[in-house]
Amino acid sequence: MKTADLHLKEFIKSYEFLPSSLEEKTKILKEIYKNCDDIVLHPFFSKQSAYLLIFVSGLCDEEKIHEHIVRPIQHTSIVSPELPLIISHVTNITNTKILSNTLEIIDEIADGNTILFNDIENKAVSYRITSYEKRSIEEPQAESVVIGSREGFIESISTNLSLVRRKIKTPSLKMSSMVIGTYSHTSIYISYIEGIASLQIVEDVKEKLTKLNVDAVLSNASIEEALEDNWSSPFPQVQYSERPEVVAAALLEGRVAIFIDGIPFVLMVPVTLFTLLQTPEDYTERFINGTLSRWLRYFFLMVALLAPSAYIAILTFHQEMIPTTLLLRIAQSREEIPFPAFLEALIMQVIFEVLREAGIRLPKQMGSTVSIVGTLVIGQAAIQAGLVSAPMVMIVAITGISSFLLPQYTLSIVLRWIPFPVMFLSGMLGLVGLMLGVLIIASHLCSLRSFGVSYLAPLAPNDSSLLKDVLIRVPLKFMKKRPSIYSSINPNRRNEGK
Amino acid sequence: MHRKHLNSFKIYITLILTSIILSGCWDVMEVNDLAIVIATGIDQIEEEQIEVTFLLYVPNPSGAASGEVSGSSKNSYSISMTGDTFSDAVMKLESEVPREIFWGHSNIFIFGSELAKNELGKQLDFLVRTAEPREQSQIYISQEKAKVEVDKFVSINTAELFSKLPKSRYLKSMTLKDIEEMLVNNSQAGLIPISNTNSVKTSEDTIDSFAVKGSAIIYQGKMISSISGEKDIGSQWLLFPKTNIPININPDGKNGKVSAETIKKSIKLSPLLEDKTWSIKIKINTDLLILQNSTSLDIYNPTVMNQMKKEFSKKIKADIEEFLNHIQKDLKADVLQFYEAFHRSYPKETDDVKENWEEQFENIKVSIQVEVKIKNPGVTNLNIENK
Repeated sequence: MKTADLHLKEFIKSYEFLPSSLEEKTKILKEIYKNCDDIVLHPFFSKQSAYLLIFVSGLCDEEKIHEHIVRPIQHTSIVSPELPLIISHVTNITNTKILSNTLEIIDEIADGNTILFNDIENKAVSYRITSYEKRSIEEPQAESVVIGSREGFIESISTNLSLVRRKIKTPSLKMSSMVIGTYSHTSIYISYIEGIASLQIVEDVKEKLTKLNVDAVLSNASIEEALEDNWSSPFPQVQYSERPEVVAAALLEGRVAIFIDGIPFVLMVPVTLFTLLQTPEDYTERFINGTLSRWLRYFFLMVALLAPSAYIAILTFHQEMIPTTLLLRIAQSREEIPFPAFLEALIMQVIFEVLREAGIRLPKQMGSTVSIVGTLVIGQAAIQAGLVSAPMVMIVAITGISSFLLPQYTLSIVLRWIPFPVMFLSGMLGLVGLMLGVLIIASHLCSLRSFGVSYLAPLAPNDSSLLKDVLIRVPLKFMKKRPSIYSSINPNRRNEGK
Repeated sequence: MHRKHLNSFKIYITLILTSIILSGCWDVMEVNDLAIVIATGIDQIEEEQIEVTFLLYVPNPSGAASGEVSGSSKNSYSISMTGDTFSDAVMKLESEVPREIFWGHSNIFIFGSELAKNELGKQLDFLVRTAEPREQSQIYISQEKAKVEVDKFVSINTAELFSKLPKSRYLKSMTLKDIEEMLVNNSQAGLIPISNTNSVKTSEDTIDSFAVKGSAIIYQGKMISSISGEKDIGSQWLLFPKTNIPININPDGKNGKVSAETIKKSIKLSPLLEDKTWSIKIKINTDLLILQNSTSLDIYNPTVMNQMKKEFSKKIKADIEEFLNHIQKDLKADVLQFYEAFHRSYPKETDDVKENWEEQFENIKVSIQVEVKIKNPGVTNLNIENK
């Protein structure tokens, strides 16, 4: 395989420019696209000269090729076969490019463009009439909102770019392209608003992505890993969104968005913990509701993280902290449970994870069956069988529900397993262990940076002027400044003088 | 970059490992290994023999299996142990019950009156010295034997009852901490409410419930007197600022009574030492709520209202004086901590009489000033007799 691959590369290199003769060109192209049966080489003739069309079937609109390229050339009265003349006078397709380099030509073919050769020039015309099957714009699945736009990104990068371009119409919105993947040639766009985004971050993103050397970009993971500052941290350092308005808002805050072809999500950097805890709905709802739901989310983030651990710690070390009547009830329901509270919590928590995983992996139609079996049968039966106590089932259920409250899926999967070590610590050391766990997590979060921005900003380091969009969500008329943590180039959101 | 992460990882691991060997942390206690003490009764049965009765909560396994969580009678057990001292009896219990004795929810300690008269202070020492019993638990002295009372509680939902005791606006309660503070002072005198039981009828049978009747005066570690009636009410005015007190007066020359309840009261002691005369002014401010008026008086009438106020203050003053006379003249026990009040204002002079405070206390002139406000004379004024 390797020798064949090398052979092809050598071959292409030896023909940096194609010869003028159509016959020779055909021979070379046939050699390059040997055994590629989806590549169509179509020779045809006008009254005076011969031409060759090459395109990938399925990526081009073949009807358009026939209608706008082949037929006009065949019926033209213009004698000269020169390519500029054909573009301007014969064919009626506007998005064209004249190419001479072989490698460029090959890339254009792969992108789904149609290439036309004539018999006298060593150049070619690329017609952009790409048309392939793609999903239509649908409502986002992972980030649904009640009030707000129903558009979601799709797999086609050009559509995604246009969705954002439609929200921000200024020419300051830059989309700089890049191709990554030795084999996949995936196109990637780095998008930012000039004059708002910090140039250093933009350069940093470009540099990190240029350094990335992979075979193919099939999933977002390879890009995400390249962008992370700390690969070993469990916390996500890239924000995903499938909503154009979220990306637009991020761009306006001075952040950088990365579009990847074939992935219906757009990546955004830098990231702070609090951006991951915000939903688009925080801003569509009235500010009081936005603030309250934000508080709810912060509180249940702590519940998701600490509820089982706190229960274990208090139940096994600090019984005097429980109200007497509650303790007596817990004592009664725990009387026949053979396991210590820690083991009991571990069993339930693992069962819950299994149910959750099963619910995701199974086809949609089966998912509800799993949840019914899981909740009703296992929950009820486990209590009756005396494996776990009823309060523990409740604690685990609350923990599970709480983790669903988090808007970023990448963050909520972290919270699926982070509680386990904390549970272990509090099972050993009680509330001391719990605090130890919290301390470790907190110090890790404090040390985390995303493109030089502290992960806990603006809480640590504290910037009280920004807390109004973190601790509460003040009405938009009070948010006159952009968050200074990302960029300080253009701090005012308002057009000055107006 | 790699090296840095590895180092922080090492630091975390060391932190976790070292925390394990910290002493005092490794004391896991599962709830199902506990025998939860709810109430304790302490009696003296003979010379140098202490009998301690524990009311333990041990969950009933068969009850839990059927899914029925009652949290009441069926799981309460009382057990008595004798020993040379309170702590000796407790240690004996520890060695006889397979479960860990858990004091964290012990809300009430009842001392038998026999023991209280002889060596209350000596046995209280165990409670204040050991860390496990809570300072917030309630202390009572029983009318009869403490064992009898504790045994009776087996049939009622005691845990719940006792946890509500300190919140009650009507039942007097003294915490271990209050008593500790009283007895540790130079006055060495304190007051502990007396507990009793009440019979309560249910549809099936008669059960006994907890009640508070009167108070005991403690002096120098011993119970020296028990008070009830007006004296007891007088003590409530001065020592229990949070409980509500009922007052009944019989206005001059009228048939019937007017009943009221305090809704707020405050007390201020102002000691004065002039020309070697020790005097103290007790100022009481109180807000009353009229509950019933069975006289023909129209309380809504401002003149009648003023008269009522006078009558009430007279009654309150009389009750307090009764109590003060008893502790000052009969017992010479400084329950009200006058010593502390004087010491704060005149430390030197008070120190001089520290040795014979008993004498000095007897001769303190007490003046009482009561200010009554009738906050609410009632919603409507019916005055049946007038019509």
